[in-house]
Amino acid sequence: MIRVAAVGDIHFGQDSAGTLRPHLEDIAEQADVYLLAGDLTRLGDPEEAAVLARELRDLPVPIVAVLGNHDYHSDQEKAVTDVLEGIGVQVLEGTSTVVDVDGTPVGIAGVKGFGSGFAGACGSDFGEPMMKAYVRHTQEAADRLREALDDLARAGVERRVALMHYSPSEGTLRGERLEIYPFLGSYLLGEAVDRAGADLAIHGHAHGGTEKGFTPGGIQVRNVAQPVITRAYNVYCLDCEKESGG
Amino acid sequence: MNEPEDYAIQRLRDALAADERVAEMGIQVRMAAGKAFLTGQVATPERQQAVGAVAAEVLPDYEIHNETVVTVMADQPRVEKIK
Repeated sequence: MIRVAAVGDIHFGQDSAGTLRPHLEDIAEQADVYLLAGDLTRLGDPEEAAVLARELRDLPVPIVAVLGNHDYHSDQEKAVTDVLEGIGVQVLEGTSTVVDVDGTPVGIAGVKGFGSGFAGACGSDFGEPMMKAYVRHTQEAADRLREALDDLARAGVERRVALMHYSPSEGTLRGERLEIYPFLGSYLLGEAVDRAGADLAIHGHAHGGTEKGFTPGGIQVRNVAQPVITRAYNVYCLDCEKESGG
Repeated sequence: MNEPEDYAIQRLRDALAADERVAEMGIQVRMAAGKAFLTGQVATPERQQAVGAVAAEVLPDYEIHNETVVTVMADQPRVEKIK
């Protein structure tokens, strides 16, 4: 049984001190790992990350994160990353990590991702340099995610979770305005997850979206943006059916 | 000529994203009869208050209705078995 806790879009600022930790005190009884799906700060200010770091310090489960667009706003994403890594958070960007859960290795591959839209209604690598750069940025993120998932598979890690900020599926965007789907995610991320394979894909970013969806290849996707789940985390249990005989 | 409402709405949405007191991209703005209605979720009471303040500064000629809500976190997580 592998219990994955996840939340995104907690948007920490100076006014957030004390808002998260009280909800995390019993997390070790609920989960084996805590995933943070980006937009950890409001403005990407390292001081905001420090407020969050004080809430997360010495948590009894591993914490794995990706950054989101807000965390890039001040062009200090490296400093934000350093603050979080300073208290042991593993911040992924086209990389992966393996967490041991009672002897079972669980791989997490993470990338911020980017937009471009979904098959049939998306940007293409065509035209002006800025348009091509927009789509290529997403393609490069998707390629790095796929490679990170493939690396885990090659290392023999069978249980794998894809962690993103932007959405890999349209289903979890339902509730958002259709016009902004290209700014909320990309089918390229979903395609990367489908081609590499994963047990679960987690993302945030879509505050007005829906928690549950799936990729075109049928992999379960969960939008854990805090305004959607209204909790410090939800828990997604892998292999629970097997262990309970269900 | 008065500014068309569409432009005023987007001017406010841009301000809500750019103003460091708020930094929110998810606030919805609708207008009717000289009133601006703001809806959506914010993380803290301070940011909710700031939404109203920014709106009043950007749209001084409108009656501002700040109907945003502060996200309230439930105590217990939901647990889902992934098949």
